[in-house]
Amino acid sequence: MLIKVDAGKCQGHGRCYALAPGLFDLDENGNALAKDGAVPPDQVELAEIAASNCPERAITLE
Amino acid sequence: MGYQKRSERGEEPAPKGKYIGFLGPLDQDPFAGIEALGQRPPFWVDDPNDVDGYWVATGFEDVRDILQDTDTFSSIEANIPFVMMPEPLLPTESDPPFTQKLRSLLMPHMTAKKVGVLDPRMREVCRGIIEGFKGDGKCDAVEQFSRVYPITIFIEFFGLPAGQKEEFRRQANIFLHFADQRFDAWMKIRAIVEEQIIAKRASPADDLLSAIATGRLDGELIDIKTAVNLASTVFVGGLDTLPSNIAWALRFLANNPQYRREIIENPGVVPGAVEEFLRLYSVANPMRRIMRDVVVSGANMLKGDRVLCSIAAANRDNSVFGDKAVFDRKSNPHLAFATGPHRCLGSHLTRHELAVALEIWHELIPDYRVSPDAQIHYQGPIFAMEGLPLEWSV
Repeated sequence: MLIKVDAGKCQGHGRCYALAPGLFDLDENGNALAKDGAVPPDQVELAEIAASNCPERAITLE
Repeated sequence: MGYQKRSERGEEPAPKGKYIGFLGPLDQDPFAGIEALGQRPPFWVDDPNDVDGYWVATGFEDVRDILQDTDTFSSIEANIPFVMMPEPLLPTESDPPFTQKLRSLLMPHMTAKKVGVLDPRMREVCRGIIEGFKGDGKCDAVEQFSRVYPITIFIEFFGLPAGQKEEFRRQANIFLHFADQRFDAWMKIRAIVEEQIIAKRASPADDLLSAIATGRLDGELIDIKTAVNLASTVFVGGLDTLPSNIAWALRFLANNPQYRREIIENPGVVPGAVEEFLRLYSVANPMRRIMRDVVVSGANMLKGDRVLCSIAAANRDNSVFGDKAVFDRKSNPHLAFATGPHRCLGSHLTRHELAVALEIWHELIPDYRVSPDAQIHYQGPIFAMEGLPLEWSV
């Protein structure tokens, strides 16, 4: 599973980072960046939680 | 420019919905009113307090999508009730790409990480205030706590002198709640802020005002007028919202001991409780002006109309969130801080301060109730309680 954050939609709510700090980074404005690489199997549920909590629907899991 | 009524634009009246109070003194608990309204497509209300009627959007998806689509739904000359101001409030009353340009000055200074640095000070201030009245066995949680703690933190974070705290709060309250005095209050706030901006530009400190005073737009030092405007908007946006959030949360917990028990027994639920209170008691009602004819869930919105987004109604959409308060829900994509490029810049400060307030309050005063003879009065359009008498055993 790969995480994608749509930079055009992300507004820096920071929910993904708060819920799954291992899977996301924040830039200096507080906007989210997905960490590189595949989501470890034991963090797939966490990735799904992060995506479903995004008010902007900016996170997709592929 | 200004607002042109639907009838003056030669348009037919829109199908009407039931008017519920959003503005000024409200005759009932606004959230109870919104709850009773339920979910429906956007409807038109004739507001006795305004120059014309406007649309009210209540659906979760409608509100989210409207706030994201800034091409169709502009923030310029969108306010309800309509008041012509000497200048637009920035960045609130701007549209992209100017919005992002202005916000890029503020965002790096208002991130969760930056705000997190204030945690020990938040705890210290909160504890000091609550310990001050704990022995009395009662307090007005609005007058003595929810309006005192946030401004104490905000003044320091912002970089304003503490001595003028009460005057700042008073002007912000007038600005937010009394449309007929809004212009005057804005000019007073502006004058206070301008003095500070000029001082900070000469000798910057490590605070938000200094960051604004020395900020750059397109590589050029920001002009004083824009800096004062930005800082004044941040100031009015930060003062009244969090006090309301705290008051609504405390009243809910006073009236619902089983939820209070969760917080007392396991402070680890606080972050989830914060999200749930933000969802259930969303105090802001963002307004937009429609830039092209558009159909939203069957409602024919016309160019020139305005729409009020009831975030509280959207966040109480049972098809998304169910009908109960749940502190440990897995998914809580609430819209309390709006969506789109105008996402509340104070969201991280609000979350952190609200969490600290709930933790420290329940550590010091775990059991309390609303005073039986309490008469609670309400205000809009930032949904506020004017006083919340609480009591407990000492």
